[in-house]
Amino acid sequence: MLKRYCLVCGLIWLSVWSLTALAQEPCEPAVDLADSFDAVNRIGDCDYSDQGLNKLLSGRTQAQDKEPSQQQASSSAPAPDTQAQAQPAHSARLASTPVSDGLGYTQQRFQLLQRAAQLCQPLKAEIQRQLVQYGSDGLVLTVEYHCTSQ
Amino acid sequence: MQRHFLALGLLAVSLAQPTQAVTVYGKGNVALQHADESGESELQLVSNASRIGVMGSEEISEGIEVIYQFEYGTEIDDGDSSGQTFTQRNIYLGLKTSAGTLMAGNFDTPTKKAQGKVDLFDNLEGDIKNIVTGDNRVKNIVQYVSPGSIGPFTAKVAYITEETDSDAGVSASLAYKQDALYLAAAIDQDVEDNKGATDLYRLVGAYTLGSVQLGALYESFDGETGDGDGYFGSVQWKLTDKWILKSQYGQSDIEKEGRETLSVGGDYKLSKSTKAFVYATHNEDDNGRDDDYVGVGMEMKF
Repeated sequence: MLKRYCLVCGLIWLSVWSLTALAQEPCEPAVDLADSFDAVNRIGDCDYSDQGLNKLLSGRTQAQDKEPSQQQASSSAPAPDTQAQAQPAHSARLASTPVSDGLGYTQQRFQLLQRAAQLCQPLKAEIQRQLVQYGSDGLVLTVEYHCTSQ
Repeated sequence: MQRHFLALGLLAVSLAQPTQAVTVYGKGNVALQHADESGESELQLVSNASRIGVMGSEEISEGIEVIYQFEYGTEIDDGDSSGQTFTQRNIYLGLKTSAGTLMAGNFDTPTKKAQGKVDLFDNLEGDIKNIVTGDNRVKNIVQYVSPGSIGPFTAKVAYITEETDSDAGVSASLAYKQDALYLAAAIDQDVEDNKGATDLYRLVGAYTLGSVQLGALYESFDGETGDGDGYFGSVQWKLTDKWILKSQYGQSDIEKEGRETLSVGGDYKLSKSTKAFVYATHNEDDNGRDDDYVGVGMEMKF
């Protein structure tokens, strides 16, 4: 009984903590990062691919990549997975906010994997590397992933 | 015109490489201000350091990354600056390892970057460059930056070749940032600016106490045109999630004898990336300068 109670409390706390963590803004606007005194040390720490012009231009490059693959499909035998082929191959890096405890690390890792999977849709995210850096505010986890249809 | 094609070409090349982490960024900052300069007044539309750029990194082997930034200024008000649609801002190419970063190009000296965020009216009429010198973006500069793994300290040493002028210059800084506290010390030796080759040192401090941020700067200058020192203080109060009130005051005899600047203003956050702002600035010196500026503007970051 006590074990179940602890488990439920833990899950509730985890959910609330997760929502709080998601609501945080770990990264400043890209122009402010570029302007900061320690920009060169943080240049790959934040993922801006879904923000501002990057989102718009990313959509445009996807559209441009889509045309050749459709032309190729019409001139030869139909591809078995045209929806997946229409998405360009994509590699990127995501970084967590600094974490100072094991639970926070697990939670941040889950969020990074979830984000990678979302960004790769409808393809799958293949995790290529996981890097951990020790900083003054705790560990920073960086995940490098590649979108694949495999 | 060649510069336009260069900028667009770099942008296109960057975007055509989906496997690299490339970020397009920029900001537009425009204000309508009433300027009263020594008795003559007029209404002006001003673009305040509006820019567009790309930055990114690519790992070329285990533990070694190439980093880059290509940033260009654009004038929202006039459409060009001395006939140039884009002007060069911070531009570099570098190698980043666990031992630090080595970079070269055309960019801000360590002394300029050491100011951190204490200048609350940066790029407006109340900018600290009105009262202190050393805010230089120089050509032909090679810089070492210590790695982020050494904790809250960031050290920079830059060498400016004699290619631009006859003397080579050195600029260096040491900054400490931990939670709410920021401290920095910087020194320039034979760095060329609008006052000739200058030697100076600068001390900067900032502390955030709840919703209030305090900042201060001191500079001592010794150049071809004379010597002097100046100080500067700023305070920012985050009133609500939307409103920020701010003010700063500086006094120095570096740029001109008896130079003083006083600014008050406020920011209103319209969205995550956009704000509206108002400001009033008074600049004066012993040589007869007695200028007042009142403005309202908008800034959008991306």
